[in-house]
Amino acid sequence: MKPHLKLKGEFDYVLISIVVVITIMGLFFLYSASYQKFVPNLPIRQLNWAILGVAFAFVFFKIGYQRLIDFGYHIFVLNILLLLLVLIVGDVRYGAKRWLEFGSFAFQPSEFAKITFALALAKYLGDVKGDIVKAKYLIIPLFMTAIPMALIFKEPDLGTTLIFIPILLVMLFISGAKLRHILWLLAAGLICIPFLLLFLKDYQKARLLVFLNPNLDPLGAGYTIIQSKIAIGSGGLIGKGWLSGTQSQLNFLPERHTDFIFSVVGEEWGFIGCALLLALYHRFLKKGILIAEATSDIHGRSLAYGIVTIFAVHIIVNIGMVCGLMPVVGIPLPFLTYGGSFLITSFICVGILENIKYRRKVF
Amino acid sequence: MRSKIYSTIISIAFIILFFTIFYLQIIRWPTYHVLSQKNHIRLVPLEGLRGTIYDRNGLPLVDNRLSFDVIVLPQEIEDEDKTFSRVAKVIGVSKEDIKMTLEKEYQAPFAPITIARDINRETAFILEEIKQDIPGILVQSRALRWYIYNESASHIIGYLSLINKEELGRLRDYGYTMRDLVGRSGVERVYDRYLKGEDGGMQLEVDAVGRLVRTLGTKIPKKGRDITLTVDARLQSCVSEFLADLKGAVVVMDPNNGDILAMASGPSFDPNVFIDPNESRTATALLRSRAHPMINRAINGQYPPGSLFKIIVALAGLETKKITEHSSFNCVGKYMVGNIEFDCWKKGGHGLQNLREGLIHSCNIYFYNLGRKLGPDVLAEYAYKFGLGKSTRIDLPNEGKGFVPTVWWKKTAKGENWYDGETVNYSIGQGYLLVTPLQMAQVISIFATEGNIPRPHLIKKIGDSGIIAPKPKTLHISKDNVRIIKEALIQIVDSETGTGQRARVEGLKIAAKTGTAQNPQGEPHAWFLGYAPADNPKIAFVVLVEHGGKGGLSAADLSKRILEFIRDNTEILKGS
Repeated sequence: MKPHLKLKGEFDYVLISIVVVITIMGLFFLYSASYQKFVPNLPIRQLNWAILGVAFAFVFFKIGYQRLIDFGYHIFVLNILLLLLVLIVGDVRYGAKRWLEFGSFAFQPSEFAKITFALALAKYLGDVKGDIVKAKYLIIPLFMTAIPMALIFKEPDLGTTLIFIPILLVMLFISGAKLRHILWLLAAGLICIPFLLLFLKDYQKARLLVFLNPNLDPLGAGYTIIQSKIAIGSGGLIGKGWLSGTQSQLNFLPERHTDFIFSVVGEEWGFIGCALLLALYHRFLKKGILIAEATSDIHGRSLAYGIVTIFAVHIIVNIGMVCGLMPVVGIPLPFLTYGGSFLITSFICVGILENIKYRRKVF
Repeated sequence: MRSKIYSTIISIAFIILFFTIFYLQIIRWPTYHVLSQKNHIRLVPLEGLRGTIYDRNGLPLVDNRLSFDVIVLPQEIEDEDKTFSRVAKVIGVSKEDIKMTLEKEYQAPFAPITIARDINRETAFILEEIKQDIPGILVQSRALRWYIYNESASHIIGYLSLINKEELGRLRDYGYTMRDLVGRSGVERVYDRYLKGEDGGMQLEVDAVGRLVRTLGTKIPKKGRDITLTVDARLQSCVSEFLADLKGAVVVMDPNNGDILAMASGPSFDPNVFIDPNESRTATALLRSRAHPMINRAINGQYPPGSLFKIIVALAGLETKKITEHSSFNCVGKYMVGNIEFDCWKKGGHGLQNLREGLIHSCNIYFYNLGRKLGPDVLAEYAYKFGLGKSTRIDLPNEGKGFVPTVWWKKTAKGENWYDGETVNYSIGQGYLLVTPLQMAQVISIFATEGNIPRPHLIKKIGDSGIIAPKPKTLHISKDNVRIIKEALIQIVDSETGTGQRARVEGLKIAAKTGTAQNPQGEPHAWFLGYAPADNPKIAFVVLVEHGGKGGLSAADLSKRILEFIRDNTEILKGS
């Protein structure tokens, strides 16, 4: 499928605007989160990542998603190889092997695996089309999911490992797989949980237990979640003001520039800030679903749903986690959490979404 | 269709998040607000100093002094071994002791631990000088209540200890808090509300590891009000010293207005031990001691007055006109009531005695006869009149009332009739009659002032405002009768046959009376009371020595030494 087409579809300005607004908000909160200590140029670095992300998004916007889909398997296999490489030569930080280093540049292949997985699965689903209703066509997607999950789980990175499950389920669901089959898969997954627990590190088990009762270990594993709830709760309606959150500024809130950045928003901007952010995210996801739904090409449609799901899971699980609704599994908040690999992945996803919207009319 | 379902699922998830956040930030805000405040705001109490207690001449009796404690901040220690061996050497304890304290009391890296209390000033200065080399070691100063005269005024002044639950409930409205020290006895207790300082505090903002970020506010603590007592510190400490190895009590009072000049009780205790946490064992031992050092015998010791009571009986005889000063009784050394023989203390007897002689020689037979004439109820009436059997209402807690027996009392309480033999005993101050040394000081003051009954008190000033002593009440008794007895009291000391000769003091005319209080536990208690100068009384004194022997000898000796000290070393006798 050659791009003998003309680029004159629609461009979704709302979608990209929401992304820009949230990213800029993110820079402000990163500034606040790092205001009192350590790396003072945290927001600058994030800004650099964001600019790089926009460049990537533009590249992926230009490429044409069909060509990406064509190479979907290759890219996915390449990513799997990188994940293997991480386990062999990866850089250990915070007790986990997640990073690959090239000179001064380091990145996490596991972050990119989210999108390459969606790409490969979209190709598969587009190729088998209606046959997906047959159970045997579910075997390959299962393997496609299991391989990156196993590798990432080994790093270990529990949060990222679990992300693959909802992406798989949603993409199967949307592509017309039998509900019965999906439920079977879900049931099988649940049965696996006890076995999974055997492989969990102690700190991960502690986190799960603490989710059930944070006061179990208020100074240890429960500390973060208790402090996070205090931060959000004490923000009240209008918050304590930017740079004035006592929980964040006085260091009571750990990991506040990464997974717990939402707590800083909650403390300093209060309910108004949180509600605004929720509304922006919600609008963003709705836009993504609209794009997916308006795409008749199964490849594009599956890919768009995959991308929307990646974002939806991150947003819902992260916010649910900092509010104490879900266990602390270490999942970043798109466009807000500090970190290059995920930010760039997010921008690439946005680029691909815009791409799908732009080109779909041609077919 | 499936797209709709998916979209709806996402929306439901967002609605759940929205309401969770609403719940946390709006509904539960008050809780989380408080929690966040607690997280980062620490209240550091600043203790309001307790008021100073002065003696009548402005000498401090009780003050506050700076004490220095050595504390450790575990997280600041760099080289544990080096630091501790250095500190151990300076404060003179072993390194192992320090480590043990640390292990025992460790709570958190930022929580300070006290490793030595109340080190001396020089040591504190040395530690301050080397503090650069020993990070994590701090010298903290705080105010400690300081009883300057140690044992010497402890029964008047009392002591402090931590407030208990019941008191806290009662006193919370007056600004008392959980860690307050409150007066447990003496003046510290009675005037606690004035002496107590008003605590202040600092609001500090701290970060997650407890480091100070800034001070949010300060309330300056206020010192409690100083009080001035009527006591003369020098006399007090001398009296207390004389009493050091004895069980007994001394009261020295101004008979004209009830000012207590000195009041001591032996054995005594050092109130400082109740403040010093290192001395808690000594404190417990004091509270449990069988010698009862915590009891103020001057107001709580209850003894038979013995022959001291004779002055009241004599006056009662004159007042009721049962006798005149010339009425005589013949003393043959014994006195029969029915078949029972009552003896005079002098074998063979005093012969014919008039009132004055009876008093000078403290002749029992004379007073047996007089007592029989008066009867028990008149004796009781005069005992009450002179303030026995009821508290003097001195400003000290838990004063004893003593006891005045009556015929009616014996009938109702014991169900027995009053026997004549008991009247005989009553008239020489033995038997059921019990008095406190302070009550006797009040009795002798009535004679010294010829009829005025002063209210004993310790307080002179609160802050700068003087407390005016209540005006002495006047008894309706004949001054002439009182003077008859006063003359006898002078003769007791001055005459060659007087019982109180041993108390003679060069250059000071004294009126006095000896007494012996029988007690079943052993040697009788020795009493001596009087006033001086006899012509213009400035002091009234009472000395009681438990098991001090017959005839009040030891008490008289003690009185002599006290009077000499007053003559030589105080201003009390000087001036008009």
